[in-house]
Amino acid sequence: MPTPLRAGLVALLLASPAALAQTLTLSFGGSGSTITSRAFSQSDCNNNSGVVVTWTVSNLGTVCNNLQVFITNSSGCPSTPDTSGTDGGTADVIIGTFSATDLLNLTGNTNNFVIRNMPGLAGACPSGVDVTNAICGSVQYRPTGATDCTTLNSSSDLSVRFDSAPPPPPIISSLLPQDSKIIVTLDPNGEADTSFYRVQYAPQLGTSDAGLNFISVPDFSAQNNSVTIGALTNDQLYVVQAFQLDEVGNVSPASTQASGTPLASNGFWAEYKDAGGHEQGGCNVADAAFPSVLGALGVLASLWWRKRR
Amino acid sequence: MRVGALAVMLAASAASAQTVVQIKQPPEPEPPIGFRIELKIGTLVPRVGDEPGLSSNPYETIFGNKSMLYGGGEADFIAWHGYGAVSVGFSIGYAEKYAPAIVQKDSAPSTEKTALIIFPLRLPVAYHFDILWSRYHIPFVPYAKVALLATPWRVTKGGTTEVVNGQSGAGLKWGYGFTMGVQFVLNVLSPQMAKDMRTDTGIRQTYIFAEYNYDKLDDFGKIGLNLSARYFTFGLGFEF
Repeated sequence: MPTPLRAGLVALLLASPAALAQTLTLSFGGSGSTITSRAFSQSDCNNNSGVVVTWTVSNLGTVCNNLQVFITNSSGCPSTPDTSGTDGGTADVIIGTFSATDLLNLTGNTNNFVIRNMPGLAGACPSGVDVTNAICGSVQYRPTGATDCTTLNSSSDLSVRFDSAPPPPPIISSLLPQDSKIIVTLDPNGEADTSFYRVQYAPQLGTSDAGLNFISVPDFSAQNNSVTIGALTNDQLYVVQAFQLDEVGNVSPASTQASGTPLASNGFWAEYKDAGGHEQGGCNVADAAFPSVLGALGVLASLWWRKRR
Repeated sequence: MRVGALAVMLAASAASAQTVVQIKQPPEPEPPIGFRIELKIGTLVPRVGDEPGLSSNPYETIFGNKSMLYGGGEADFIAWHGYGAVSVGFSIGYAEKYAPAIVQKDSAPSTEKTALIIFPLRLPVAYHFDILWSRYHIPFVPYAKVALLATPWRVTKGGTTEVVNGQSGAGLKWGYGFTMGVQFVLNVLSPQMAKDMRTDTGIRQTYIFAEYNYDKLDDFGKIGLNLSARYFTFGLGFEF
């Protein structure tokens, strides 16, 4: 093939509709947002919280049908919304429809979609439910030079979750009584989205669990699965229980209680003092001694170096 | 006539038999100054029980007879090189030993760990008798050092500095120390590699060493925590 013809073919291929891939993307909270999943608690639902979806589309040319943004409980995004529920799930809900004129703006937002209206909730905020739906987009357009319309689906699907089901109680996997403290290690008991743990402790003053006055330590991230309960009284039996909170703040039932008694112990320094050691100590290595010795040596070295030069 | 014939014969002899004379290069003289860097490792048991007036040896009570693992490094400046070499340097190290604390009630091991941590610092002056190597290529260099020691120390329990009756388990110990050791010069194993290394990196000597340390770390005889120790260290060194 002569070189000018080959170049022309390449130019034609580059200019073809296949080369100019059209895109439709969805996002939460404006374009550029990287959040692809949002979760709502029962409280959020009762407060009529919702989501606004931003769509962004490349220039489609001839638009055959409106852009529809919809929520579905199908496992993936269908090419078009099924509002009859014949796909086996509940009816998909269209949360925004945008005409060819709207699409000329290349971006836009849906109205606030109240979460209680999503498939599976039927306008209510029931307890003990954990539903995740996908948010999809679909539009039909006619590529340049083509005679038939093509369906364009959103390339970045979003998900929205309503979670009013409390997680299972965590498991106290270990409880280590030490000197004036107890170290509690927790297991999420199979829960995948534990965000925080809450640990409570109470001195057991009598022989019964009745009337235990539990004190909470500050909630801590589930990334750390252990916590130290400090400032406890040695030789006192303490009862410990734990809870876990999922990503929307649902609190689990209390774990099975565990108990332990902090016991006073001697480290090397206490053992040394008990044996009659004369050392007074009191100088913190990290705070003073080590840096001061290094500093003094540094000064000596610099003086010596300057003298040599 | 006779003289002329002899001259002709000598000229002919030189032209017909070319003798190649190889002159062996004398070893490069050791430069008068230089640097030495060493990495060393060893184990030591501080002589805590040597403190007068102790009813027991708390180190043995907590840690048994087990040694602290020591690791450190030393940098020396070779200030004079003549019949041997004299250097001054600075050494920094770290040693630690962990063991369970002891429950006061029944002396059982606690789930809590206690540790003795020391940071041995020293300012050594050393003499290396390197004549055996530099003159006779015997790859052993005996040496001796005397050093001023300063050792920050810290005792932890449960990861924090242990405090007893308001007294924090941390401090600084001064002392002095002697070291005797011997280097084995690795250059002898591969002279060509040693030569390349010198050309490429400036390292003129690589060696391994073993040394015996006698450290007196008791604030020059003051009664208190005694961190003196007698121990061996081993390591790898480079001389520039």
